[in-house]
Amino acid sequence: MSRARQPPLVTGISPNEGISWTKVTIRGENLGTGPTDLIGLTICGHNCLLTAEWMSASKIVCRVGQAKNDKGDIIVTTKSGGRGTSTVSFKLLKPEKIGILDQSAVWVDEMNYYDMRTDRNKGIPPLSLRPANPLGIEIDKGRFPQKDLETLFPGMSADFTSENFSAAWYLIENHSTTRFVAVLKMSVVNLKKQANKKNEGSLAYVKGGLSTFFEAQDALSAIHQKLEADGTEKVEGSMTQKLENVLNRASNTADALFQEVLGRKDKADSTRNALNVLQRFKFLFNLPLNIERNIQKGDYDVVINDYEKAKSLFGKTEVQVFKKCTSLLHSSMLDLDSDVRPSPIGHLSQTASLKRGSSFQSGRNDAWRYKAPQQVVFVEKLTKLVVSQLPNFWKLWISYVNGSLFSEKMIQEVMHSLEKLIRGALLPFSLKEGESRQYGGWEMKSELSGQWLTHVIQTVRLCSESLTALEIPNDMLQIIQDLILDLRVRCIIVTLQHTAEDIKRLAEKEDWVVDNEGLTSLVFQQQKIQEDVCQLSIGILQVFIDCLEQLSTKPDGDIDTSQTIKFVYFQKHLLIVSMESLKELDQRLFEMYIESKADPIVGSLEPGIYAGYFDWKDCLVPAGVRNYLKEALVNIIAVHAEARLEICALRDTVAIYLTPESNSSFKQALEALPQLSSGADKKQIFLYL
Amino acid sequence: MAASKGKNQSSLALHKVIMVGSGGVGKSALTLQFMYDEFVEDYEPTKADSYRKKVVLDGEEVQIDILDTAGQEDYAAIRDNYFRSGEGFLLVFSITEHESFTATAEFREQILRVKAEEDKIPLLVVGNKSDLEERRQVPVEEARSKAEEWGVQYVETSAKTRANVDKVFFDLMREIRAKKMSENKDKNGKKSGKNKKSFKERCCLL
Repeated sequence: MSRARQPPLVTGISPNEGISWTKVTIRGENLGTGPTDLIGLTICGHNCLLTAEWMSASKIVCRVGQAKNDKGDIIVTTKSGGRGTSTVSFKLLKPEKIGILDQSAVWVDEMNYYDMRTDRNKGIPPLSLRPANPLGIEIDKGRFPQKDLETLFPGMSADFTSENFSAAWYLIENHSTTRFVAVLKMSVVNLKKQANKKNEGSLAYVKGGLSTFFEAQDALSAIHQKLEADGTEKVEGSMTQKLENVLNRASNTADALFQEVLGRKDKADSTRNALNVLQRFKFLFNLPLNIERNIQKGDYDVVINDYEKAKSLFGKTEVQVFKKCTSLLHSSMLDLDSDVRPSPIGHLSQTASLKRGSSFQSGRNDAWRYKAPQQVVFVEKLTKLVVSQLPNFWKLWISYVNGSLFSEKMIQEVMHSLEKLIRGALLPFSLKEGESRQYGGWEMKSELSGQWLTHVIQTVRLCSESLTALEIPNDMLQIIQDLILDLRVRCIIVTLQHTAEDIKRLAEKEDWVVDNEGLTSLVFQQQKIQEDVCQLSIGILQVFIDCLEQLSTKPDGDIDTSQTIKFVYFQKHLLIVSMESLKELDQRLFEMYIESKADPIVGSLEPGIYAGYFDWKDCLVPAGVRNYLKEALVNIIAVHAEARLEICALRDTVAIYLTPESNSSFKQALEALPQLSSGADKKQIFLYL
Repeated sequence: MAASKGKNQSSLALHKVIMVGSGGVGKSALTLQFMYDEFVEDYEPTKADSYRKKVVLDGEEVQIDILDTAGQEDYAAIRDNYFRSGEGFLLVFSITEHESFTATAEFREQILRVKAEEDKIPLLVVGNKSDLEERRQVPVEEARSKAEEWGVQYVETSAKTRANVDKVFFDLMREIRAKKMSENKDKNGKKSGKNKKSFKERCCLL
């Protein structure tokens, strides 16, 4: 979204401070192209968009919300200009509670300021009930300066609620110009009226301050209880006594008052409940009448239906009224029961009703009740079957009688078409082109798997067996046999192909995630399966070998023995070849492994070898060796000599007992030691010894 | 971009102007006319409004901060705080209401009381509503002589026709600027240092 306009800039705020919910006017530049363009407005970090009212591109009016920060910017965000800035800031004041009578330097909007809900329980102070204008005539204020009046009536007040109220002052202040005769007389009447009203309106007065009275009563009763608990003696005529009496009377009056009201309410409620019950169970209470009416009309179906419904609804009820009602119903139904039997109603509706009637638990063992016997059902079904099948049989019978039924050609045709169809479905390549067009048409994306082929083979076999059981001549079934053979071959080929593909895919499935045992997950997953497969394969091979042996050694086999042996050899060759290829693979893999492992070692060694630019040609002929080498050489020689001499010594000492065998073993031992080539060496040995 | 702008604004010179005068003489109207070229017909008593914008004063970009105060007597008690923060004052009265003219003397006294430690306070006496010539109650001579007595400029404006509106604000800003510069010079002279600014800053740090 390209921002064609400048971001909003707030340059003015009116007012610049205030409490929550103060209405503020925001002025500035680029404050949006319309009300919908304004998408954000925050004052002191508080979102005020909800109360914002877009006036123009330079003016927005809104109310500040509750905010945490005391002072903050006014940020306007518009679609066209993005997030803006402000040059002025708004200061949010904490709403200090200023009492009604407190002086305040600033104007306090009392409508928003005083939450009336918090003051609700406090009750209205009695003073506020006084009328503002007790005389009921026009107030004409301000003719006399306040100062003069104060000097005129020292220590007095024009406020008629104060103790030292001065009626004269009040009159001078408010009604200085009023004519005495007409108007002031009227005002006296007014005043009297109001006084009376106050007496009359004491109830209203109590109502107004009800919560106060309740509180007072609670407090007083608490005090009373405390006093009683303390065991204070009752003193006749004491203040508490008087109060107690008053309170008791008040509570009695209140109880009486409310008892009447509550009693009426209870009555009304019970009436309403009764009406509700009647309405709700109208069905049940009207039922006897309805039943009677329906019986007269002859609608027994309806009667029975209704009765059943009522029974299911109210059969197990505990309510007395319902019980009564149901028993009434029951008796009337029993009457009906006896009425219905001889009555000449149409038998269809009767059976229907009677069927339903069987569910009545009338307690009588009725012999006439309908019950379909099994024999009847049997007969019905049998006749139905015969009727449905007999025409076909009849037609067959006619054609049989005519001699047009049986024909070898027909059977053959059937066989042929069966074979061709199956071939078309499963072996489309074994058909000729014309035939395949006729019998084929199987648009298969992929060939059937081996499992399905075996299933098909089984099916075809079953078919052929059942055909054989029909004693159809063998030459006709030959086609089927051929088909089965073809299918079996196909099945084996397909299975082998699939297996080969699966094995190929095994490489793709391998993810080379190696676990801590050095096996990849694929191998791990299929380890058990592998074992099973190995077992099975070995078993198959062994059985195969056994079988081959049996066949080849079978003396009077149908098959030519030499051919069998040839076949066996072929199999063996196959196994050998595969084993050789495995060995080769193993060898190759091993070499590759060695090479790959050797490479880094060689790589790390080679630079070291060539690091010093060492060249055998340039190097000096070694003149001597270090001492440790000499020592090592001498030690080796010593060991050699010792061994030799000891063997010789042993041979010499036991020379008398030597057998040819022990002699040869001595010789072997000597041969095992490296031979001393020169005399100088020998000398050296002796030297050491 | 907004940030850079903000920086620019904060680095600009800021002149704080306060609108003073009785209720209903047109302080807000003058302010709004100056700020947004708009004349507000309906009267809604102001509590305290803030305005601030960038202006070009004699080729120099400065910021003007206008505090539009309440003229009503109800707010008299909190005026002291407002006046303390001001650098220059527009003492506004309505030429159609003589009482508002007499009230200017009280306002001036209050300003002088609050700003007692400063010798000369930038102040303009503004007679507003000059378009209502037929309802004039304050003669030009009377106002002018009073202004001369106080040693300040007197200008008649009309927030409705925008006559002299820019003039009063810009003249006041010039006075404020002049006063600031003279104060800086004084300080320079006392400290007898040429690079007074850095020195001053060091002082602040200490």
